[in-house]
Amino acid sequence: MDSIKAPLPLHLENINKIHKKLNRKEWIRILSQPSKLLLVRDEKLPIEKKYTTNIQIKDESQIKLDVERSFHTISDESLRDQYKEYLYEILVEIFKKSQNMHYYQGFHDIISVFVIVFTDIKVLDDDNIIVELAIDKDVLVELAYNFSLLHLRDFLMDSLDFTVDQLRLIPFIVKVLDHDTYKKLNFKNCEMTSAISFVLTLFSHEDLNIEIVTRIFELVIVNNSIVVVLFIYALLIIELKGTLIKTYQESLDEFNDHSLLLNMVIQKHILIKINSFDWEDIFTKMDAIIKNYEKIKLCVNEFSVLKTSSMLHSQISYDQKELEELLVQESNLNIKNKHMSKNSQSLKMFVGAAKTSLILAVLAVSFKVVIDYYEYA
Amino acid sequence: MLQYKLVLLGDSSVGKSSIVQRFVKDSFDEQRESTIGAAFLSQTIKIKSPNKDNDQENDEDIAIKFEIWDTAGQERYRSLAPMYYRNANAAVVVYDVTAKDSLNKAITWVDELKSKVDDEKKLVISLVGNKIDLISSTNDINESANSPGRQVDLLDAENFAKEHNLLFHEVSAKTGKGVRDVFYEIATLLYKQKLEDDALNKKDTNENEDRSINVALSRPSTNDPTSCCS
Repeated sequence: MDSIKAPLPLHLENINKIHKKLNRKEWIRILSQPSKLLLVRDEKLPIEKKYTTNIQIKDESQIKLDVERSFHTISDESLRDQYKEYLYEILVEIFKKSQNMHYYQGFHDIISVFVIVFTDIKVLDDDNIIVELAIDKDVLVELAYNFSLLHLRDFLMDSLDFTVDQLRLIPFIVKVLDHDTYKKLNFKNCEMTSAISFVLTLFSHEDLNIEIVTRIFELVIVNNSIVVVLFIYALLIIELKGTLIKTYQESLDEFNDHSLLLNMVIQKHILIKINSFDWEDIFTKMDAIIKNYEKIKLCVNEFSVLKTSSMLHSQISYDQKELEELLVQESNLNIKNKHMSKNSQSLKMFVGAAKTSLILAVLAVSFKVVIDYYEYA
Repeated sequence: MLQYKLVLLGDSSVGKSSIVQRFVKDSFDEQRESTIGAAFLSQTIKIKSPNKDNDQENDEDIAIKFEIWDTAGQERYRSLAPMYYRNANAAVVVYDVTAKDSLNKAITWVDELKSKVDDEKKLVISLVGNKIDLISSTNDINESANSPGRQVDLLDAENFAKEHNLLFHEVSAKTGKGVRDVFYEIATLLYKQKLEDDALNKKDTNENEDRSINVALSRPSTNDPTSCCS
């Protein structure tokens, strides 16, 4: 699969390393399933092209802005521009495929990872470096589109409501894994906004080593659930508990907003340590949790990815049409909720509080296996 | 040290994060990633006391620590903003002088702040037009041909700021021009507010003490042997 013909400059070695470690074939095999793609050996032209060129993209100007600011860690301008071009093309094609998807800032980071994974860098005889797609562009669009439908629908609504629902699960995961940390950091009634960029981008937005980022993507793909991202974030909090508790408690007097303080402390310390965590250890713990994890009924909306296409250990496979139908249903629910919340802010708050209690109750029962693991590990 | 919460608001890509980076690190990245959710930074500066008589630290500089919340510009993240501007002491509302719509967006932020913040008069708001480096000098014809040019009239923005009692600056995060002034002006104003509040509190305390003395004097003393209560 690797088509790098000459040694790469040192700063690009990292990308080369990723390509060697990655199992692109596995990504393609799993993510092509909803399209029922019959992939030929070189992964080229297996699908019927159904895009039209004259479709207007709702958020095209925002996409342009974000693409322009992407791949900032690549110092070679020409190389960066080539990556940006692929990124823009793939993003536009994805949103042409579905008018029900709403672009969010951060989605471009996810597609950037797909671009890096499915391109090769070649050094030409004249020392120019070019980026080439390793698979047909239409196939890449299809894979990224399926990934979005399977795992990212909750985020691709036109509000953050269903994203916030997912973020609310993090404190409960922390509670189950480490009740003492949960208590000392006073997670109760705390919105986990510090996790938003990590969750919405599957850790691809921060300057985390791309090797680790692609491992996280692989974990999501192979386990077929985005819930692993929530677990990783919770595990990072537990990993840093000593520092977090100390900083949080020392700063309590200075901040009049406990929730904001907690988010600030967590965000700051995770970012400081982002490239020096023992990621292998985190992934090992992750595996153990997943193996011992029961099917649970999370209190998210009924069309959420966590209850359907991105549910851990689910044996149900969805085709693209079914996923698109789920997207429509979830979008309709989102619009209905937004309308409701405009009409009755107080009712929403009441429902939110009741919902949170319910999540707590459900999780407390459902995580029993996880708790057992941690007690006996 | 005095500590103040400051929030940056404004449309996507107007340069909020670049302004903060210039202020905190005195640097600029041409390739800057978009902000997702919000980013937290802090910076401590020293200002001269505007009123030495009231300055408890005498001739010493006053240390002001800003806790800065740099928010995402995309509309969908707007619902998170109240969490960041709640209890804020200052807001820097940013627009891009080369993007007309960005001023309209800034105006909606000012309206929201004015209507949602508990004590509107206490919140210091600074309206900041960024990217003045992209406005070419009229003398340089070659440069002006490649420049996007000014899309937001200086007077329009300035008048809006005056009408709504906002501080106002035009800056360039890229060159650094004017950025420092934004934060020093806010710090000075917040410190002045603090001195006024302290003076008011002191006056109230004195008045209360006076009142309690008067009340005590007018009450018959239980120790007075001639009192009827003895």
